[in-house]
Amino acid sequence: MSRSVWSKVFANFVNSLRPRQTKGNLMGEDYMFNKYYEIPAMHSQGHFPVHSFATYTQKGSSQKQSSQPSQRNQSQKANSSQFQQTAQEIIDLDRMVAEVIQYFLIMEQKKFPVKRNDVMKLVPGISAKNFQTVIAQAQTYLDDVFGFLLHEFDEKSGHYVLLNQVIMPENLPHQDLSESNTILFLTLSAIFLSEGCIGEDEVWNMLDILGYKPENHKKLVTSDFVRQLYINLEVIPQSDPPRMNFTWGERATIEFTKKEILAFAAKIYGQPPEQFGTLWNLADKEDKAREAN
Amino acid sequence: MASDQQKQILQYLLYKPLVSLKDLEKIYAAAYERQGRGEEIRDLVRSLNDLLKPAQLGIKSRLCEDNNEEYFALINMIESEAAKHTSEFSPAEFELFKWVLKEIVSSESGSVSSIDCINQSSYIQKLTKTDAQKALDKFLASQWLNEREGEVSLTVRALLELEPLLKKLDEDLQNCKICNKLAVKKVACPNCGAKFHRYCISKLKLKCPACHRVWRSLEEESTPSQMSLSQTLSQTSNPSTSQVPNRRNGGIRRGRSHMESDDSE
Repeated sequence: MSRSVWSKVFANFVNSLRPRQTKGNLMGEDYMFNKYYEIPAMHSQGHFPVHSFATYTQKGSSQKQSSQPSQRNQSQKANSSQFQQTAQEIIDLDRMVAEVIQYFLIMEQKKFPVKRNDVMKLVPGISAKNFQTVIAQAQTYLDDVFGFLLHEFDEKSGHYVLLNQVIMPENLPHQDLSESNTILFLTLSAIFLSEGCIGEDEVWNMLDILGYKPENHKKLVTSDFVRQLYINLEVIPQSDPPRMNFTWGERATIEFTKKEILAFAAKIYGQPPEQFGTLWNLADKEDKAREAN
Repeated sequence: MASDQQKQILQYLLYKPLVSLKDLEKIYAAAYERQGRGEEIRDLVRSLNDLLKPAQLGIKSRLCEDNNEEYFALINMIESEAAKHTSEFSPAEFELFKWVLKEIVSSESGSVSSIDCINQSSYIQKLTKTDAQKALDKFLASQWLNEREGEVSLTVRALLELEPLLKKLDEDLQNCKICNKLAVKKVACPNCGAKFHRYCISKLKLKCPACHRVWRSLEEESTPSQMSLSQTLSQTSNPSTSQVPNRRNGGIRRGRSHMESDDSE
């Protein structure tokens, strides 16, 4: 197409006499009954969708400009045009990333880990091919906007949790300092003070002494905390009736430092944490190793 | 890229999605360590919405139907597949929740008694009365429902986020003709039946914008045949809200003259 103004004027005039060449969605009419249509995005001519997640990643995308909102372009059915295909794919990708983000946020409220298989099942359009891209974009967004670090546990089976990196000011609470949290900390302290492994009966005793009746909280500890990966259960072999041992779970290891737990235990015993001897050394060593990473 | 303060505020909103305007001012003060000037709160909401847009979340606001204060809620803008499958409620609890929603929108007062909610557990499998009480507490804690004096009603969060679901549950549900927001707690014009919020119609000094009929008092609910009864009741209970003299003709005439004076403006 020639770029000169007058040839464009002439071309418009000729096109107005022909039947409409570009398919568009009727958006509405103005007072003079002129009809306005939304036409598909044409990258070659400078129409880019907005709010693409591609703008969030540093690599690759040239889409910094914005003219039409991507939402409305969703209604466009893809023509054979190559550019439209890309626009539609980007929109679908954006939608997938949004759903993944929401799923992570919801699961984080319950503190349940997110399994890769669940994501594959629940998010429409996701496949093995685009999984990594979607997760990467979701990860960047969650960090940039909410301050959540997406942590992957197991390379093979793949489950994820969100770790809060944001330091909240004192007068702005962001989680329930409720009973279950207290019980969690007590259990973790008990495990730590027993050098990493404790029998279940001792835990029930401890909770009982502190006023938490085991019958009420057994389910919380053995089912919820295990599901949330805070503690691990193993059955003691050849025990009759079968008894279980508790150990620290993966989530507890990354979410809490041993020092925090020790400080909590120290408060209960009324002793400063440094007086815990080997345990204090252990906690200190672990902290240094963490900082080195 | 969100600033640290914005991240803090978003974290708070994830934990408590429904906040009043006053709460939001306190949150601003906690994060930015100073009081926010009027426009700054609005700017904050706008900038947070820009940040949230790619995740299809948003902070919307509207006036509460009970006390006419402005409330803000962090809501989902799409019906995501994932969100549907990971409800925080068990299937039995969710059935009770849907029943409560349906009762609320079909009622005139926009509320249902908490006792009825708990008794409904007998019609739902796997839900005992204690479970129903626990479920109700859960709904209150997660800010979907409010309870006042034994009556359970919808929070602003429910009104904003569940609007499509509510419209499906009851087809008669309309928007208030004055503010154009969904009206669950509504009063109806005795003349033409149009629905409004109590505060909206009070601001218009009880004059219905559809038929220009001035109401005697906010206590008027339904048909004109009940008007003489409500007339005497309203006189004794709410003399301050009645805007027109006793006689019916006088009321209509006053209404007409209002209309005439409007036309002449």
